[in-house]
Amino acid sequence: MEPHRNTQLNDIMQRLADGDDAATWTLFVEFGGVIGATLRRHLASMGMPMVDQDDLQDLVAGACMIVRDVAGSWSPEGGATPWHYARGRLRTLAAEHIGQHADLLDDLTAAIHDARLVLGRPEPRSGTEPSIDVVMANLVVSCEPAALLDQAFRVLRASDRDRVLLLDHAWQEAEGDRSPATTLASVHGMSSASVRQAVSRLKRKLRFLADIDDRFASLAELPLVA
Amino acid sequence: MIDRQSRVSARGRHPSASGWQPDLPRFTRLMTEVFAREGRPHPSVAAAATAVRGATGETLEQCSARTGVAPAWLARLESGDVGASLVPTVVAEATPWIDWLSLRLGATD
Repeated sequence: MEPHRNTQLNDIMQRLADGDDAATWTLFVEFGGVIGATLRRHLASMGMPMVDQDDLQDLVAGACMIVRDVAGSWSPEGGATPWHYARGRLRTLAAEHIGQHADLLDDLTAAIHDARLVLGRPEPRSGTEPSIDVVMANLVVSCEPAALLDQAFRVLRASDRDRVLLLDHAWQEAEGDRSPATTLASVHGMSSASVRQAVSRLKRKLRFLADIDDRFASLAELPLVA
Repeated sequence: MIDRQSRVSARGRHPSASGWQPDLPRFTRLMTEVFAREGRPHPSVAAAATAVRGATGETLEQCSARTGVAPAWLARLESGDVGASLVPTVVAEATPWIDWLSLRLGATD
């Protein structure tokens, strides 16, 4: 965390410890994003990579109340942020949320399973390459991970060519092609080294995004990205 | 290899963290519930009064200087000791998402 943010957080925690309820608001407004990212990570680790915005607001609000409760015992000298200090209670909060949404979790688990099948299954070829827009448009409506992947492509500003290469490379592998880069090189008029480089580069970017942004954490589980 | 400090720092700068848009009306409802559970006589007023100062991160004195409301009176509002009919206009105006009219007309506050 940046030094000035650290100072700001310490000030808020001191005020909370002193019983200043207005500091709960300051915590919610100023650190809700970071707390939300932590909660997303807890939820993702429990199998819920996506969370509704309204639900997230409630979860962050609940987490702020937890931080308010522990303010008296927390110390900046321990080195942990308050939401890491209260990690157990935040995980309980996340678990309770998932417990209330068991049906949604079932749907999501099924969607991830479907997405793995779809993303790893050979696409029927009709002689012409399906455009990336058509492929993704079909996938994003049927499963959340595919929608997430599409969103990640947009965040990374991945070119259409790189998207096609990544998906085609995965499909070629799934079809049993032992040299997918060579196959794609002839299709796209590139060298096989360039294909491998483009695929590897986009995978690396996706993994990095999954690592730093909890919204995309579940991407790391997709065989396509691994 | 990205070290932990760089990763934590990157998370803080990433749009998912910096793009946080707090839902103040929603948080007001939650704070009202919390204050009600704590037994404050006027939990809605307490929630609104703490919002006025907390949303900007001010101390009582700073908020007093900005609003013209005495620190002691602000503290009473925040503690929920004061009913909605006695809330200064400046506090009500700073929390436009709260239905002050209903509160002042005698609904539970």
